Amino acid sequence: MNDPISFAKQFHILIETVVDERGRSVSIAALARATAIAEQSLLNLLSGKSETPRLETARRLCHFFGIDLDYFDQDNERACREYLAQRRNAHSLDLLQDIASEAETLSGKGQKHVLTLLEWLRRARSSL
Amino acid sequence: MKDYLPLAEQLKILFDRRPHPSRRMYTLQEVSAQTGVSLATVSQMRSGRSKNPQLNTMRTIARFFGIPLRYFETTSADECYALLKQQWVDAPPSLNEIAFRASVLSEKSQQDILTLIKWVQAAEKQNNGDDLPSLPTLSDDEIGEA
Repeated sequence: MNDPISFAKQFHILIETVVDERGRSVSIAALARATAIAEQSLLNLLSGKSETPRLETARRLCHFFGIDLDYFDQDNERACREYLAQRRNAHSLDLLQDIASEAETLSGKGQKHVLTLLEWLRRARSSL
Repeated sequence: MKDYLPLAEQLKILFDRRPHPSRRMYTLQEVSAQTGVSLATVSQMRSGRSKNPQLNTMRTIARFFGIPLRYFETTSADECYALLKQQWVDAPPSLNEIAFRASVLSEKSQQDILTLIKWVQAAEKQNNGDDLPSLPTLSDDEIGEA
């Protein structure tokens, strides 16, 4: 599948791939609220009625989904999916580094508290 | 929402740092003719009258200049320069190959390569690069050993 990919398709992949902890995609209504993009504009982009968004619209979508504009420069479906997979890894690594460097500023006692908190979170999640 | 550097500023830096092969800035006409983006659009984006063009247009412009699309998400001039500088990493294959081959050479040899590049630049400037002497062809063996 090497056909140039439409924006609509890229948008669909984005919505279906980026999910919350419970595996749910964002709803169009929620996306419209969070990005301040009119719901109708989003629907037109998803259906392909609008072929391409405005730059600012694309930027807001990127901001919301935690990606950059390069995603919309991918040529085919596979490249889009790979981009998102890489992005997810990079994102979690970034976060881990942030966490580590923040934790470094704490006292030994404070660091133990964080560990306790993490254990508490882990148990809370596994009991869901 | 993030405070992006105005599009006109991003383009100004881009035109400045991504010159025409003959080392002057691209003209609006050239960019329009070679990308198929209308002259009016290109010129309005440069002047700041068009701040929010279609994403497709920006993709065409980014590809023409060989930069990633995320260039148009920069929030400062410094960020623009940094992105344009590191760009050689995702540059056309030939540039990647140059960088790759150079990376395994000694520092002394790398200096020599730089001198050589400057020499070629000067030669190209003198006669537009049209009639530089052709380089001796190396056999595959020699390339392999290099």
